[in-house]
Amino acid sequence: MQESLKTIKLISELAAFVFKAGGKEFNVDFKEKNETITITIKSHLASLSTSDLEKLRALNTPRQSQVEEYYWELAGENDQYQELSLVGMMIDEAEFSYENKILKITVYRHK
Amino acid sequence: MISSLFFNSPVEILAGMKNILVSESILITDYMLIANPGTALFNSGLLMLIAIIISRLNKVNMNGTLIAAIFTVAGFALFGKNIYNTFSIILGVFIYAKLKNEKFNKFILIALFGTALGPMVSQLSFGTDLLDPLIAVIIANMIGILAGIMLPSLAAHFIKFHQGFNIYNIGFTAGMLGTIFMSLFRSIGLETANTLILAEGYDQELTIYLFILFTTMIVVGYLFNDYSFKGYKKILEHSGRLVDDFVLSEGFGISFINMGLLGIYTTLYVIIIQGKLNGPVIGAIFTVVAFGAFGKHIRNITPIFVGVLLASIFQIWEINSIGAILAALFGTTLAPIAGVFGWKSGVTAGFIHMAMVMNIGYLHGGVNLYNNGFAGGMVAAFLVPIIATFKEGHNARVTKNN
Repeated sequence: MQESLKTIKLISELAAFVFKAGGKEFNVDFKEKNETITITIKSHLASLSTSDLEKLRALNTPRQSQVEEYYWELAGENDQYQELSLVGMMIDEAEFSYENKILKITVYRHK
Repeated sequence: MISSLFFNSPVEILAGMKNILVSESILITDYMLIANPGTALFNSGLLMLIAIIISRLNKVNMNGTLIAAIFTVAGFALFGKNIYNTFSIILGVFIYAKLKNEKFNKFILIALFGTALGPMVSQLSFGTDLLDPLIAVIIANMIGILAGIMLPSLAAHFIKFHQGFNIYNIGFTAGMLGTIFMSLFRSIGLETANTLILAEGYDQELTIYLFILFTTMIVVGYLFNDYSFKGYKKILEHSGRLVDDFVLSEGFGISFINMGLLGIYTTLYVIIIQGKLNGPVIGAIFTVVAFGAFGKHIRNITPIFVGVLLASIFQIWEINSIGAILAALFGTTLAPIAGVFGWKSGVTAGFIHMAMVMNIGYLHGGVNLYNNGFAGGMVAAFLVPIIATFKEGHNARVTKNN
């Protein structure tokens, strides 16, 4: 139960980032295979500032299980404050790109 | 631990440890008075060492949150935490992990911060004559274990209440838990005494001790940071809102420099307002230093100090009274409000916090050492939605005018 809630939180936080970056539509793809969940969010953005792209680097924060257990409920809670570093601490790997006006973020989380 | 020998002999420290272990430890009990300064520092070093050993044995990553947790344990070991009253709480968190079939290392932060409820164990063990002493010790430890089992679920949940604007999140959680337990205790006639035990007369020695300690931290940080202060400006740009780990984002060296600078800054604050240095005040300084790895810096704590200073002009408490000093130092739990919304919001938070913290201790009867974290949670939960609404309105107007 808690595991699925955490996944929902991760999706919410990524969606909040896309909203804040000006996304008017986006697709979320979710997959669970071999104890690993993969979340991909794709959005067409007319532009993406360098600072916004820079913020996504926080997704590369190494996973911190003890921080996750203490703070995970904060993720995806508010559309005004971003918690991308917390997302980074809850996942094992992240990829992101902005090419041809398409922002694509993929995160991997091992259970 | 070694530094304790500069203050007292090993025999005095040993005798002092006995006083500490059987103390009720209710807020505010200065171990520097019920034992002596050397023993208080020894107890602080001992608990810090145990926290490090537990972390190492459980293979926990050394990051900003863990450094903050370890230093916080050390700070409160000067006035309320000891090896006896923290054991059952940590055991309770361990049992929770086993019940959930999870590794204990995932809950290490909650276990360490959760020792805030140590006085509840000590008070029940040694502070009641309603029970046979042995039965009291058994019941006290069972309640400590029960609190430890409850903490992980509550700590994660209560964070939403203040939206990450109260850095001492466990303070709020332990405050709620302490309030519930204390209500039950009071319902069967158990009460805690109003406690204010403070050491005096060690200002000069402790000032020298603190300046040596914090200067050493800055030097060590400087060495780890490639012989530079590079990155400090970036630290000052952080809002401090949870989760803001300086060690992970900016590196260990510069975070340690930030911690040392906060130590000197807060010690100077106490000296300038002519406050006294004792166990609780040094514990509060250590806690600010602790969170120099995880959210606090000189820029976002200063507005809180200004708010408390202003409060002392309009409110009934003297600025250099123990309550006001602790309100200022521990009130920096609200630093993220200044970091996110600006200095005026920070000053307002400090002003309200001073009144709130003086009013809230009765609820948990002093069994929660993080009284300011409890008050800070309420102040943040009250202020943040209001400030955010007005900021949103202001931003909308600016956009329209443009």
